[in-house]
Amino acid sequence: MLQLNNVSFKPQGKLLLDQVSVSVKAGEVYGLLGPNGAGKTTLLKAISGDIKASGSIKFYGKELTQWNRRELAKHLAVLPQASQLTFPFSAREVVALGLTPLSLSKAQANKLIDEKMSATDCCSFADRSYPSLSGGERQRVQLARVLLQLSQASHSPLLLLDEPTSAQDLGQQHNLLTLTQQLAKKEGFGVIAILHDLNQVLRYCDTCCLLDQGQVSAVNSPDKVLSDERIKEHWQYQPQRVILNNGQTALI
Amino acid sequence: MQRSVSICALALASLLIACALLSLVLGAMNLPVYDSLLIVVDDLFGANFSQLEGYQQVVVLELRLPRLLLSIFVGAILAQCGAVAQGLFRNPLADPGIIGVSSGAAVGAILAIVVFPAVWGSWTIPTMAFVGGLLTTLLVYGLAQSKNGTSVLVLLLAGVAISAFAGAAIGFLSYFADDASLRELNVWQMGSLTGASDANLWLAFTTMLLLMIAFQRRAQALNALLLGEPEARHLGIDVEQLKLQMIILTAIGVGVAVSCSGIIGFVGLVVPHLVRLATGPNHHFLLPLSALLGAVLLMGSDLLARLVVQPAELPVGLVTVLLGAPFFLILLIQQRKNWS
Repeated sequence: MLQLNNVSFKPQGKLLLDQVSVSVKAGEVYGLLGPNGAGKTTLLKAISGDIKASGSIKFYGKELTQWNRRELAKHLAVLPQASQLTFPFSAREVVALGLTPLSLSKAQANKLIDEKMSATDCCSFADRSYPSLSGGERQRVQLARVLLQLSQASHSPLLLLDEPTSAQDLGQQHNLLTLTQQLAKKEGFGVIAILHDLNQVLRYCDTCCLLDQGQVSAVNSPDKVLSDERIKEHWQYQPQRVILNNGQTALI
Repeated sequence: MQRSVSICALALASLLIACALLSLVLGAMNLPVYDSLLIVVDDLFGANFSQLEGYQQVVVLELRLPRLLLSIFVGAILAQCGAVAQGLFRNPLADPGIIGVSSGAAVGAILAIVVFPAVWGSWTIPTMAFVGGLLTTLLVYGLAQSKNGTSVLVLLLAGVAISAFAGAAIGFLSYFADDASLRELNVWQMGSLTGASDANLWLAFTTMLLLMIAFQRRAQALNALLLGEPEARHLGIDVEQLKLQMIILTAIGVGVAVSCSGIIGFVGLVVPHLVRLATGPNHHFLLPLSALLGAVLLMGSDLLARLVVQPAELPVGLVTVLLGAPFFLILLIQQRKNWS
């Protein structure tokens, strides 16, 4: 669904993305990882159109810049790391902002809002003011909003997650990543997520892309990418491996 | 939510009517309510029901009615422009008066009065006020934009700088102005609704309607913009175009308001804030309710301005500043914790 070809970004002479070429399929959770300053967020911004990078970014075979804004919004959504929203919207009103690119009757809209809020476990604080919510609650509200935004997609939509678990506690992190995994498997979403926790990458991602200094250093399934040598090379850390009861590996 | 919006709308509409009635009958000359109303009906339909004397008719039809209509139109314009500016800057302190846009518009208007009074006939002052307002908005917006959104500090300081500059420019122009212009300048600086003429009324009315329609059509986009610019863009909104449209429309609104009634401060700050407290920040409701409350507030302030020092009167701009400045301080105190 998404193909990047030789994408580079060099603001003020500083090369932040260097000839990045990757592709993401519908139905897969695609992890972006790498040390700080590797270019993960920049790459996500290039895909979401927040920065204009050189090279080609095709979404369903069509350059991103050629897409109609509203059509693109129905198929590609970004879960922000933190929102600037300080005005006292209720959580439900924030979710309803996801209706912006859609055309729905009021009854349909209300039904979908309820559906997305219960999928992200936001119903208990639907009427509370958004600025009064905790970081984790806010992020779930934002997730419900972007899911609503993608609810009228005619092809499998693409969801971009910028460090989705940074404000969540352990249980919430698990719930959120399980939900995105289900979206990929059951509804065919493509999901690109920036993740810092390598165990989350191992557990939830189908493919991962290791970036360093703006370049793609490796792309493959997480267990192949995350070799001890690579972790040592890119994070200057020697991990230990533990085999879990279910046969999976965990890094310590 | 829907219910509180309906209650608010109903309460404000009743208040508007009550205030309008009081504005017609109270003043240096108190008039009977019923006849004062009838004379308005007579004037509209060419009837002859009212028992008012000729000079009383003049007071109602030529002094109080135009003035009360102007207060409604200008109040509605200023309050909506305030609501939109706050949405655009994503900050509840962004009032066109405080960030210097009104001052910029006033400099434009005063340039028109003193330097080239009759280039485009009666359009000279509104046009120059619009140009002044637009340039100031663009300047302030450009200054306050940073990577992390809009800087409140820069926004307010830009307002201080521009107001100071405008003050100096106005002083400079006053120095060279003749007597007639000087009186006009005074009115501009303090804000007054005494200049309600037919031309002014039509201009203000048309602008109010234009802004109401244009802003209401962008209500959903303005809501989305409160999430942040990238988020609004990801929702399919052409953010740059939206911002440009809102800046131009706000500048038109402030320009027209300033050219009709001078600098009337704080209406655009206080009104949207109060409406948000009652019904939340959703622009679908915020904009029309702000227009209503703005009209009520300015009409009420003008009534006060006419009543407190009878038979003389205060400039209405003084009254709104007296009401609005303490309110601004309270807002600052509330926001202080977010700044440190």
